[in-house]
Amino acid sequence: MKTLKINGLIAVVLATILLNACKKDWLNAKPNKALVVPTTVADYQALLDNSEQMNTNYPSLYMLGDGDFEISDADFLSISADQRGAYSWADTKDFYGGLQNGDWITAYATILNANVVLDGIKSIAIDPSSTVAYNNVKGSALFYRSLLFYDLAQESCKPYASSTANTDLGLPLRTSADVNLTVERSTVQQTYDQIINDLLAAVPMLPVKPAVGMRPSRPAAFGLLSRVYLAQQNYSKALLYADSCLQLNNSLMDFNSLSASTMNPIPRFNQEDLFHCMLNNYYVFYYTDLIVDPTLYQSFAANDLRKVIYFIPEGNNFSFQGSYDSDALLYGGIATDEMYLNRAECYARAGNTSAAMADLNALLKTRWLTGTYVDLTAANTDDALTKILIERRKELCYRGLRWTDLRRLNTDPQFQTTITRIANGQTYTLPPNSPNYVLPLDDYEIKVGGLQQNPR
Amino acid sequence: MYKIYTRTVCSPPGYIKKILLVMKITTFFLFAALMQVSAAGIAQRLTLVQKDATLKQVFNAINKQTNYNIVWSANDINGDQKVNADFRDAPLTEVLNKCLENTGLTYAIVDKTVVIKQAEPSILDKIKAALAIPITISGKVTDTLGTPLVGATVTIKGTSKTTVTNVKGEFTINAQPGDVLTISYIGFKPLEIKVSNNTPYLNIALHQDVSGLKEVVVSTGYQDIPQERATGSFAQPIKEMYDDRVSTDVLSKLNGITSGLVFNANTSASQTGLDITIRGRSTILANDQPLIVVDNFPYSGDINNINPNDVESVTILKDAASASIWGVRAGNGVIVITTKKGKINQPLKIGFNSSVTIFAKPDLNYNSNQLDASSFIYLEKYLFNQGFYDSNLSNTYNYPIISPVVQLLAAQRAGTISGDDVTAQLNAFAKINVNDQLSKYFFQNAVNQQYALNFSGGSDKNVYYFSAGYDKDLASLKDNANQRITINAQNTFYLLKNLELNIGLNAIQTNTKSDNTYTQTRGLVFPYSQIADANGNPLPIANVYNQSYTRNATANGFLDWSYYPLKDLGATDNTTKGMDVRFSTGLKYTFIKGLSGEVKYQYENSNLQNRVFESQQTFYTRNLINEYSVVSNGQVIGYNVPLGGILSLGNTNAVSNNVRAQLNYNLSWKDNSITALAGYELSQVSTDFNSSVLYGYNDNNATFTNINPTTYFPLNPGGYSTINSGLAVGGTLDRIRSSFANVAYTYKDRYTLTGSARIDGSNYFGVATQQKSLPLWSVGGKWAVDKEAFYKLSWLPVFDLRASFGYNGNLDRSVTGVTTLFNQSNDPYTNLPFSFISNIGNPDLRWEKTGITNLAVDFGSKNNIITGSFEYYLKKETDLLGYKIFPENAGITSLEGNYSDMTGHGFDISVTSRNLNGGLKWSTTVLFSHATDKVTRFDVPQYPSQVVTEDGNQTGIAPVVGKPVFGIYSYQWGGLDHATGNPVGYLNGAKSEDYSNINQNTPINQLVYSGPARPVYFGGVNNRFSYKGFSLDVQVNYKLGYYFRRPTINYYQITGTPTAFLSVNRDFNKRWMQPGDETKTNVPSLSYPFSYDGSFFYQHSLVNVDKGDNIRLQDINLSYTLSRSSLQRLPFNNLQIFIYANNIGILWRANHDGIDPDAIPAGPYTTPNPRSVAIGLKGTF
Repeated sequence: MKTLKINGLIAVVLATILLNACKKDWLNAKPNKALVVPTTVADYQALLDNSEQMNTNYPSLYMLGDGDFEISDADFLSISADQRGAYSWADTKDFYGGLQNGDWITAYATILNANVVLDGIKSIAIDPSSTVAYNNVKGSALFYRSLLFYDLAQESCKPYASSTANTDLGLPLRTSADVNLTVERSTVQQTYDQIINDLLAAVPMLPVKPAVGMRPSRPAAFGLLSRVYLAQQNYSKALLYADSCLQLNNSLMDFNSLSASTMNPIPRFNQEDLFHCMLNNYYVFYYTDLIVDPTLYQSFAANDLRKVIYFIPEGNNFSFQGSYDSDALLYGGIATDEMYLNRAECYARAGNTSAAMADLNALLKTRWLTGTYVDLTAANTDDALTKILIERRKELCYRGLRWTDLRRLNTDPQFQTTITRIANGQTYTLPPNSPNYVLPLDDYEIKVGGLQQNPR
Repeated sequence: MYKIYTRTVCSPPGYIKKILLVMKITTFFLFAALMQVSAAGIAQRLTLVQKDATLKQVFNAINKQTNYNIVWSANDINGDQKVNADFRDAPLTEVLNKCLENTGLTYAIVDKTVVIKQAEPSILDKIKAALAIPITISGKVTDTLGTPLVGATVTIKGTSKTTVTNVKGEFTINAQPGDVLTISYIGFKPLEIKVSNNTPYLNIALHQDVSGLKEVVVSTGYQDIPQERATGSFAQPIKEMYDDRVSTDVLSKLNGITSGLVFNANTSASQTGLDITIRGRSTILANDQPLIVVDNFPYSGDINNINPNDVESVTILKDAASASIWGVRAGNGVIVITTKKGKINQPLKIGFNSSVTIFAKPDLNYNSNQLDASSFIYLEKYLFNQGFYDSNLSNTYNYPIISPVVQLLAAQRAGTISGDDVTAQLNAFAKINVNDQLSKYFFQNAVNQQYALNFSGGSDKNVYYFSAGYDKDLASLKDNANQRITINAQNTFYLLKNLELNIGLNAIQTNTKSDNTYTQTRGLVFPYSQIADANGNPLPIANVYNQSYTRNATANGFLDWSYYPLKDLGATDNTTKGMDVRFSTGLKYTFIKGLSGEVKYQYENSNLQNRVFESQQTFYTRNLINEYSVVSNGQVIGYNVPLGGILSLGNTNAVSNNVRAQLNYNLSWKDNSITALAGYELSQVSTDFNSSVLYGYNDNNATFTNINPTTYFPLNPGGYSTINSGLAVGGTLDRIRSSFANVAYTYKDRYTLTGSARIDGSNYFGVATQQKSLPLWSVGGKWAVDKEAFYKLSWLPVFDLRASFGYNGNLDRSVTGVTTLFNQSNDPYTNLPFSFISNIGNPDLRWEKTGITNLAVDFGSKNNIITGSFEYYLKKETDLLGYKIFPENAGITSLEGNYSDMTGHGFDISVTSRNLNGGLKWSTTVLFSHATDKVTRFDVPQYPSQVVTEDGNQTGIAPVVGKPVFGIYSYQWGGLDHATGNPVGYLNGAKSEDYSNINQNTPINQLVYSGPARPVYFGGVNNRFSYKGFSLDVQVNYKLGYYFRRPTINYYQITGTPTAFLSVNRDFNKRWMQPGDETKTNVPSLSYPFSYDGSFFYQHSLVNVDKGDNIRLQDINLSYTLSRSSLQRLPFNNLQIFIYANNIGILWRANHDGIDPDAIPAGPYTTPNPRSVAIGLKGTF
């Protein structure tokens, strides 16, 4: 009898185990609580809220060649090959010294994140309660991708010229998260079309005021549209979108409220900041290595507060501390001051001198010691344009914008610039409209991606 | 009525079943059953002609030739008694009468059954016995060579009268004529002698019992297999050496005494624990450590917690036939640990073990990545004159540390101190070696104390084992200590005749006290730094900021910002408490003979609680408070990090549940035997962790102050940061569901075939369902050639062949099949939760598979003088995780997936020789293993600079197809330039100093491949001597056939850490200084600015590659054992006193640089394992 009972007990225990275990769910449990297969709008928003991925390491290698700063010979000899290549506009074969282009790696990784979001949310049904969140996610992903495509185009594609844009080599336009796809280089026209169309689609989806400082917003999308059109030298559209942007947010920071004695005195998420992102942090950008171009520094007047807010003495030279990130990382985002300058330039180019100067003065007034600023005046549109462009270089230094300005202004003989520098006893020169205004692709990308190299 | 323990031979199956069902009820049911078997008509006559037939054979013949059953008790009756049978068609009764003559047995025939029983003594015999006068028998017991056997047992058969031989092997015992003496000794065949009235002095020589010694059982964790029937490759450590070694953990005792197993040194894994490889590497990227099984189930806690005193045996499963029963976790081999249990019908046995181990202080000066003070000062002067320190000296943003020498030089330049004073001070500095003070104030002789006590025993109803252990270890670093208490109770109850219940409870508590002051300090000192004055009073050194800044800070309201290493030593309360509780139970029911079912369950809970309390007395806390202080007009006006201590808490809990249901089947008939098992298993390990940091903590009141973890505060002297809340929480869950089966079939004890199969499923995340499960299988065979009739080699009585083939698996849960995101808290900019792409989808993901072929020969010479085995194996790993490359514009540059393959082969030789077997016994065991691996597919092409940096330490893996996973590669060396002393390399076959080009663009096939970075040949030689109670074990370990990169100077690294501290290699002193030096040295000249590429090239050039081969005297154990047999008044059964020395020294090394290849300096702090000596006592009573 006893044995029967025990037999029965074993049978029950066995049966319980087997039944439990045969449930399909048992092996579907998550191996780590933090892991998730994204399925909801919130999952995708979380991916976009990864600031270190989505808002930092924006392309900036080209900035080493824009002439706004120098480095010591010791630094020149010790920095990595790609930085040396960019700093001295080296030949394609020497440019990367076998290294990969960090800008491409990080920018395309961020684009992949945006594409994962854009691919993923396609299968999410929208209901009225989630429309705002859904739109924010979709609009943001389009915005991020557009900004990165734009930055990469400044680095690796020829300046936009409507006559050749249909044949000039553009970017490989990754618009899917499938890493197995092979994507060839597009044309410059296709690249700009992609950027503009995505941004136009994003504008209505984005909120006027973002819930969180790092997220894209509608003014930021307008601002970026203005920036892109300016690069295309489409000044009427650049004016339109700079204005659209400033209609939504035209606040400016009063530099009198900042303390020049603290390091990196410009606060993060200040009222001018429309979209917050940081440039790829190359070694030479560190304040102990970056030597501000003396003529640039000297161009600031004594009562111009930017002279002490932007710059910090470093040995016998000056370094830059004016990042809108209030930190050592250089700011590469979109801010209202840029929009004032965009609009002013476009007004001037459209012949509206008074509107142009009004924008310029509105901006500069906040930059000078209270009570010392005297409004600038312009004799004609050319004078206005010249003054605006001078102030543009000063106001927007070290944000990665100078390179594109050089590329576009060099097409106008009036504003052509030749950059010359001496490093380790050797003189390097970047003449206007040089093919060296387009950085080469690295060897890896040519080999593995099968992409066509830029002529230099 | 008889009391019968039945043993029936060749009865109809139904009959067997019935008998078994009524086992407890004896005679009545037996007879009832017997009635049913009455079949008539077969003649009761039989024919049997056989000299020296055993009774068993006679009974068998009766069963076969007549239809009578024979019932007899194997317990009461010796079936091996010999009779002379010469029966031709003889009647049954005649056969029985003749055969049972002189055996003391009689028989009764009931119906068709013959019952054999003991003959009742006749009344006459009883009287004789009562009146008998005992006679005294004496004699001497020796082995066949005449060596006395001490402690041999002499028993009068069937009585409890017993004695043991003395030190001369002599004995005396009182007996009756007709008594039978049994003389037995472990490892020898027992002998029986019949006593008569005129028995002379007995000279008894016992023969060694070869088969008895070979009766080794190997355990797979699912079953115990006698080694004779094992087809797979199993290894066990040399038992005596394993037992003799003194260690706080189980696994390190295997080193050098276990065939096929090697301990890797210098790897990142070996820095924090043991890094074990069984038979070479089987994976590139996935887990490379063997599965560790303790008492049937994988162990999920810290294996170092298991008290080695509780371990009965360790078995290594090396090939597929042995290990594939563990399926996807067996890819790197399996280590099966079995703990001690009680024994049936054993009286209470108490064992104890106590030892003290003392370690030498580590030799801080061993490491060559340190420069003496005088050369270091020279270097600093040189750099100072180059302006190297100028930016640091003028840095008022974060006030970096300035060395005392540079401060002096700067003061001299500024004119605030005279040149003579500087020279005098520098001369004083040059005489200092900071290691003297570090060694004196931070180190002590480590001491391990070990105490263990166990009770074991058993009746026929229950067996038990209970043990308690206490370990107290003081580390060589002061204020670091560890305590462990282990309690272990194992019980088996035989509830019913065929029902067995096991219950085990194992509790381990650990308490670890840590202090990191030394690790912090050693990164801050210069070769001439002083941390105490001549009287031993603590001196401050700079930490984080230079002292000119921190000294002035106090005047501005900051807390004391100075750092006194010796005041910080012991000031932090950093304790980790571990609790590991393991409960196991098993129920085994034998349905019918040969068929049993069992259910095993194990629950384990491992908990670790870390508490770090840093009071305001510690530099860490004061520094943090100062950095976050609110400053206005240069004065501190408030605190963002509140005053008080900082308490960091961490808690990790792992719970594992394992359930296994298994059916076992054993059947033997005629010459066949089958052993089979099949079962189903579920295992789950879940872990949870959380942590937090409390600020302004007052340990007396347990109060704290909230901080603001989201705001970016300005820091002093510069920068911005948030305050770390330390909050983290998370959890993981591993599940495996398995079905398994295993069968072994043996024919005539000569041929054995085995097979096993297993299917594993796991919660492998995001993998296609059909790939969640992986079937793995193995087959094996063994041929005992020596048992064949044709086998005639009398000098080689043991000769067996084995072969096996099968698959093991490996899995890495960190990669997933669909795109998965990993969630994190507190984005650094927004504090929002955020996620990142943990894996981009790879739907083809599957498990790694290792196919292993094993071929083996076992041999034993006459009298077992030489025994051993040779095993050869081939491995082929497929679907290994590897990388595939993608263009940058895909958003990833590589993806981990099943893109790689490997192969490997090698052999394990194990030979034991009994050199002397007299009074002095000497035996030698040589273990020699060969293991190679070769990557056959790896998609990502490597850069030369990656390949040369991979030194086998696993910090990065850069495999080259056609070579081992870890190899030593270097740039071709062209000597030093005659004029400049710059290193010269080769570019496209021509000498070149274009380092950047050499480093980046040398094709991989033009790099010099020296050889593997991990030993290809390894093993140990064990010599054991014993004489009387003394025994001596000497173990020599060796590792051969590998290379390492010798540490040398890298000038550029001095730039990397502007303060440089200790980390400049001594090769600096051998540098090229003038033309001509290039004939004497290979160390490049000092020339500033340092070239990254030049330094990198030199460091990774061929001139810095050394052979790793070494032979070391690993350990020696000397013991003396007293046993009661030799010392009658001893209160113990036996008592052993031992002295044990470990890490004794290197006997031979291939390199000439004084480098211990197991401690290759990586960074300035690596030191070899210090020598240790243990003394102790163990015994039983």
